Amino acid sequence: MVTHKLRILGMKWENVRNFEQLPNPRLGIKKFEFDQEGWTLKQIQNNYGKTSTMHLLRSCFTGDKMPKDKLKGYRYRQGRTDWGGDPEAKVEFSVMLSLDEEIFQIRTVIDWKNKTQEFHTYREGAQGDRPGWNPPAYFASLFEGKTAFADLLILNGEVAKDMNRATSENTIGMAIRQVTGLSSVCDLIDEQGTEGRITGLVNVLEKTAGAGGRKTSDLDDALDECREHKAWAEGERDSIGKELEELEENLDEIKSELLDYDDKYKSSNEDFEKAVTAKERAKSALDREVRNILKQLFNPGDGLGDNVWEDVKEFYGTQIRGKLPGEATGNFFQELTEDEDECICGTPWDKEGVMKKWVLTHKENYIDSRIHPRVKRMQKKVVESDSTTDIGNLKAGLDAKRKAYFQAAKRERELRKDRPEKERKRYKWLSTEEGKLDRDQKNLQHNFNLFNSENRDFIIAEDLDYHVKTNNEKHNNITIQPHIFRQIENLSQIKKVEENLLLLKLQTGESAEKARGAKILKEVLQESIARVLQEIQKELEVKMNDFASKMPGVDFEITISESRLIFTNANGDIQEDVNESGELGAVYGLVSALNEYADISLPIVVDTPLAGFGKGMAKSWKDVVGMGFDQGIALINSSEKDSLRFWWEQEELVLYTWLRENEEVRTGKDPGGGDATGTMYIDDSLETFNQYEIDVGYENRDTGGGE
Amino acid sequence: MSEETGRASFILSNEMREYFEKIGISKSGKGESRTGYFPTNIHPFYLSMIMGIAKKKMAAPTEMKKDMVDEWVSDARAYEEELDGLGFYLHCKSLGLVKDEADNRILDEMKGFFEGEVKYTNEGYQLMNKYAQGGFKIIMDRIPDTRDLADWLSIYLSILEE
Repeated sequence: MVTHKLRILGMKWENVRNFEQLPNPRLGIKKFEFDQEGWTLKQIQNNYGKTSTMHLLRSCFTGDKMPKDKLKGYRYRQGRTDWGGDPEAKVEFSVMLSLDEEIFQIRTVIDWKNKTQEFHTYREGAQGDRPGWNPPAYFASLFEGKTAFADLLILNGEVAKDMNRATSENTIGMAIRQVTGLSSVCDLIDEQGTEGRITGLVNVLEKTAGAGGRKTSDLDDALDECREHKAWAEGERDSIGKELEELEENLDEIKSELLDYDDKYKSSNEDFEKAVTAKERAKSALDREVRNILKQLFNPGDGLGDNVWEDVKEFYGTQIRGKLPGEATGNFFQELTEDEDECICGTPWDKEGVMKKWVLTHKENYIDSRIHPRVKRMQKKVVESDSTTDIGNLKAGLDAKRKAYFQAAKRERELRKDRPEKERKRYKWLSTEEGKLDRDQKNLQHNFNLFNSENRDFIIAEDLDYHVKTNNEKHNNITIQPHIFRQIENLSQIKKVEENLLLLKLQTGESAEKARGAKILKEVLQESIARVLQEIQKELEVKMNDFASKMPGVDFEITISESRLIFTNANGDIQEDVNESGELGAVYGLVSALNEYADISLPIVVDTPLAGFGKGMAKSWKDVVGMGFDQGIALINSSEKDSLRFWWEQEELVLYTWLRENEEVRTGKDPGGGDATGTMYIDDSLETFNQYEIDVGYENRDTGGGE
Repeated sequence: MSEETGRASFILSNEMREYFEKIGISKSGKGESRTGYFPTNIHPFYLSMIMGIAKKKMAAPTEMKKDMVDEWVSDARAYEEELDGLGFYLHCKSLGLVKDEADNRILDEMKGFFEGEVKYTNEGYQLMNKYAQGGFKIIMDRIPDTRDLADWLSIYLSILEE
């Protein structure tokens, strides 16, 4: 479960491109609000201002001002004032957000005539709207200046395309550093030709103190011993690594020989080739089924069957009907007696304290404010939950896949029997040897990882940090005792001890020594960060592929490089061009993986999301993207609305339609067929959403969007 | 040695870990399964717990040397509210409270079961750990030697369905 939750609550426009003032004070809705835990679909005609809204939103999120030469493009364009807009006026856009419990608004004002842009921030309890970009600190730490990250949350097709092409922007590498919080650490070291802050510090220290210095403390001795121990661990790791390498070479040779046999018969025997392919496919299908069932079983409604689960639902249904727990929390009564001068009925507290005592007795009838939302959420979720399948179905599906695999494997074995006796024997021996070496390889790899892994989960699972931690706060809760740290095997943990010893040395040493220490620290940090980034990248790749593989058109493996996404097809060839649907699928996968990595539940805003997919893929898009993010806002045109009909007709989404005052809903034109006229407003009725441009013929509409 | 009290986390006891690692748990990188491994420790823990619940079997958790997570992670996270709901229902059921309509005693039990936004009190963990250990005993008894995950899962589902 994530620690933080960010939500977009609403937006406002004033004199922005085609928008006079939205929400319109005279027509349509008066408050423009989004679904907090689901999707909001905003139906807007192409060229009305979808893409401009995305740019303004990104700017508000990051606090980055937009290029001066682009500012004029945001002015009100209708050239008339009788619709309520002012072509001479400044442009204003604001977004209302909530971060955990705090509600705040970021507003940007663009003076396009003078080519200036400014921000204003409203925060509850902070004296109203104040100049400057000053959102809550956690929001600022997430987004300030982090365009690469914001681009991924406020996503359009162009951004997606850029992600998939080598650019000098290094967007992906930046986004990973930004979302994982490593960017501030990366600022310390030299990266990609940029001098880090430690180098700057070293330069200053060396200038003032010169080189030199001598060992003076026990810390030096401990550091020496730690490095000696690190060298031992590196030796052990390398020795296992060498053994592993040799074993893998051996294994590769065996696999290669087995493949040669297969290839020999593949090329001479079409049936055998088909059988091998069928077996591989059946194996992949079985692996996927196993993985899906493992996920599915976490739904207790599926795992326990209706009998038990219906009882559970009934139990919570009774509580909801009985309004249990009540809406107030125990803290309410506590705070009432502590913070207020009088009771809520207006009577001042009596001096004897009888009233307060009476009120506090009620506290016990309510629960803690931290548990309260959890319990309410739980009750609602359980009561609304459904069993999507049952054990019988899961088992039938699994057994069907197992059977298919056994049959495919059997068929392959039978065809192999046609081979000469000598080859069959050799093949059998090789297969047995392959299995044995596979197991040895896994064990050896595990031993290697004990020394070499930097994966946090692995380190915790294997208790590799056991000898690192102490209760000594002066030593940053990390051991400095040689007889203890000599028991640590894992190199990343030994380095942690080494880095800490260096830090402690820096706190006590002379300038020259500090400079030397800083240099070493920089080297260690550089190496560690490179490894951590590599580890994160691997983890992100797994999550990204898991998500993206469900998207239509993604039939390749995606890897992340610093500047782009790389697509590798089933043959192992890198594909330079993948279809647009695949590109978008990959980027959604990356966004989802990054979101999962961040300690916050984030919204996603997408502009004409089906543009790259085509109508036939709307269902898959909804299943994967629609269900993959906690809060989603999609700016769509009427053609996309039509493609997503199966979704918004069945589920309770928040739906809005942008209209001009004289515009006919069914045609998107004025009566008589001219372009729509009159002030723009937002309608929230299902009927309007449904019927908008229904007479136009959606297939004739451009799904491309953009302005 | 029993781990019955005192652990404010889920318990994947040493014997459970040893058993499931033979099939394979991804993080440990070891295992004999040819059709994938359990992605995390929470998977075998949960499957054991569900088995215990389905078969109404509880047992005192045995020794756990390594630490285990104290919240629903990985694939379980998507169903954490449902799992909260299941755990608390079983707790109330054990106290004979499920037939009471919106009884205020249920409130007291909520305070003694949930801890903050994602964790449980020792009492909460204890209940789930006992079901997990009970379920594991059934698994050990009925699926002693199967090492391939797909085969194991098929037998597991059969037992669950009985």
